[in-house]
Amino acid sequence: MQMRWMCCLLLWCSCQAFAADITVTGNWSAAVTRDDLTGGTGTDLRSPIESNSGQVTLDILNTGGATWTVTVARNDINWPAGVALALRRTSTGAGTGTISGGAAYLSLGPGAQTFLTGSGDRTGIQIQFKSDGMSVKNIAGLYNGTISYVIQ
Amino acid sequence: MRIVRKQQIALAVATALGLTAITGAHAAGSAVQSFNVAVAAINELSVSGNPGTLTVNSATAGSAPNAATDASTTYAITSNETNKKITAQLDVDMPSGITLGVLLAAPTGATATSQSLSTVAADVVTGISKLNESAKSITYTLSATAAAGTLTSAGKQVTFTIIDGGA
Repeated sequence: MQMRWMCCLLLWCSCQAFAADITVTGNWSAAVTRDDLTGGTGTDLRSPIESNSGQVTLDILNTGGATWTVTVARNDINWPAGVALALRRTSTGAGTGTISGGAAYLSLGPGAQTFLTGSGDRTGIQIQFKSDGMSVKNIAGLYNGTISYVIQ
Repeated sequence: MRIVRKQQIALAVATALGLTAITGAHAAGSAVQSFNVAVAAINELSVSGNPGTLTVNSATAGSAPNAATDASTTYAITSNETNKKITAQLDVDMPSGITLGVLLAAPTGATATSQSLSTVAADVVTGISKLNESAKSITYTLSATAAAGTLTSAGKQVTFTIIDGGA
C-alpha cells in the first residue's frame, strides 16, 4: 500500500516535466514600388528596407523557469541572389524570466543560428526585419520564404 | 525485512527524481513565420525640361539650309524589367520639307537610333534592361529644304514612352 502510494507520487512527479513552447505572431510582407526609388526617376531602390519595429512577436512559455536558447534559420522558397535578410529583437517582452542577445541585426541563412537566450517565460518579444541589397538590377516580382524559430 | 523495504523505496525515489531531471530538460518547440516581398514592375522615364528654340536661318550658297541642333536637355530612366524600349512621337507632323530629328544617348547595354519624328511612334532606344541612369543627352536636329519655304514659329510636343521591347 505504501509502495503503491509512493509509486503514484513518483509517477505524478515525473509527469511534471516542462516542455518550453515558442509561438510567433505575425509575418512580414513588404511591397516595393516606384515610390521606393531613392530620388525618383534615374535612381535605384532604397536599401535597406526595414519592417515595423514590432513586425512580429515571440512568446516563450512553459519553460518552468529553466534556461533556454532560441535559434533561427531561413528557408527560401524564392529569394533573389544578393539580397540579405536579417532580424533583431526590439524589445525584451514581459514576464518574470530573463532575455538577452538578438539586439543587433542577425543575418539569416539556411543554417540555424543562436538568436536569443534567457530563462523563464517571456511574452511579447518584438522582432524587426531588414532586407538589404535590393536593386532594380536584381529584383522584380514576388519573393518569399519562411523563418524557423526553435527553442531548446 | 523492514530494512530491505526501506532500501527499495529509497532507490525508487532516487530513480524517479533522476527521471524527472531528465524529462525536465525541455522538449524543443518551434514556430515558423513567413516573409514575402512583392516588387512591382518599375519603368520610369523623365526629361530635364524643354529644349531651346530651333531656328534654321543660314545656308551656304548652293546647299540646303544649315540644320539647327539643340542638346541642352537630358533624360533619366529606371527600369527593373528586361528588354524595354523608348519610343518618340510628335503631337503634330512637321510640314513638308521640314524634319525634326532626335537622338538619345543610349544607357548601358542598350542601343540608340537617330529618328525623324512624326506622329507615328519610332524606336529611339532599344534593349533596355534593369538599369537606372540619368543625365542622358537628348539631341534635336531641325533641318529644312529650300523648297520648304519659311515657317513661322511653331511649337511641337515630343512624347517619349518606355514600353516592352517585343520579340
